[in-house]
Amino acid sequence: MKWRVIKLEMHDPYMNLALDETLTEFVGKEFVKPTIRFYGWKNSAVIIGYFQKMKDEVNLENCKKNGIEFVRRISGGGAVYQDNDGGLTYSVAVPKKYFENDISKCYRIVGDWIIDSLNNLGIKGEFKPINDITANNKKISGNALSIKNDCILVHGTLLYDLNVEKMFSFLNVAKEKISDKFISNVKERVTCVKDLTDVSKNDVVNALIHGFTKNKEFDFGEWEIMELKRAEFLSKNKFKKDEWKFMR
Amino acid sequence: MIGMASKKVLNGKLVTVLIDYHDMIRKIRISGDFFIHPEESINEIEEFLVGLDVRLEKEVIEYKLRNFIRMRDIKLIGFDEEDLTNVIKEAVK
Repeated sequence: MKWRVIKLEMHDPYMNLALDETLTEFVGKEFVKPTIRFYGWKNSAVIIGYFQKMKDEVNLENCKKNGIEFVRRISGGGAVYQDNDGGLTYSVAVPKKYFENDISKCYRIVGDWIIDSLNNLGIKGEFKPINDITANNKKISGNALSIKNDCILVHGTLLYDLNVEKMFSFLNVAKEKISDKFISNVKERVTCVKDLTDVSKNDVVNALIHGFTKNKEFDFGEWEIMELKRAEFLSKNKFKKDEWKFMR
Repeated sequence: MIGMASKKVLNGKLVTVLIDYHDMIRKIRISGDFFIHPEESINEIEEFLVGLDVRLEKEVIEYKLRNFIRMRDIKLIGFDEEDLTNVIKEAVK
């Protein structure tokens, strides 16, 4: 199986989510090769899981005040805050028939690529079921999976930098919980690459590319024009719409 | 009547239900940080639950849910039918 690898690019949050859904369509129907993409966030955003309720999860008032977007993705799981400075994200899209049909195995396979990437940075990562990677027993990467249009999409984040106080100012955590103790508890459970080693964001991107492409046949590729058009359509007509954002 | 309950299940996922009911479920919204595959089948699960008598024994509700989910080949990840039943029962207490 030959892969298309799309190097790090920055998009706004709606386009990032729309490109992922577009991938399920184009990869699932085999119009394009199985694809691995790396991306960042032009604007900071809170991204909630498909089954979450926007008003429960997101501090909408604070987001609006600070120009933080709030969006719903196509996969389940929990809310994440993606800072335009701190989040490195990746998506893997494969036709269903080529990938393991066992969901926990899919997480495991991509989890091993992340562990290889961390290893390239001198960080020992461990897979923590269902969908997390830890380093020093703290979460450093979270992943989610969607099966759609005959495609398996696994996407996730490797935390490069982390500002817990900022993150929780945009998430709806009971005010009484955002105490010093709460923040220090989170810091005990979550870590980031910057906490563990002195490397640049570019080094992490290269480590991810090497980790994800190890032992694979691949070409660095670009989006097809039709994919970009489809993603722009989905961005405008689905992901930006309140009926999608506030679906639950 | 409106009932609501949330539960953090064994592996840390949160399941929340909001129910409009009067003996029978009139409307139900299930939300949380779990996974259901395919994702859209959450609507089928909610539709299936409408009309369900909340006075039924927990085991009966769980059995009905399990059958429906198996029949439709729906996969729940991070929670199961028992968790969902427990939250529904809690919401209508």
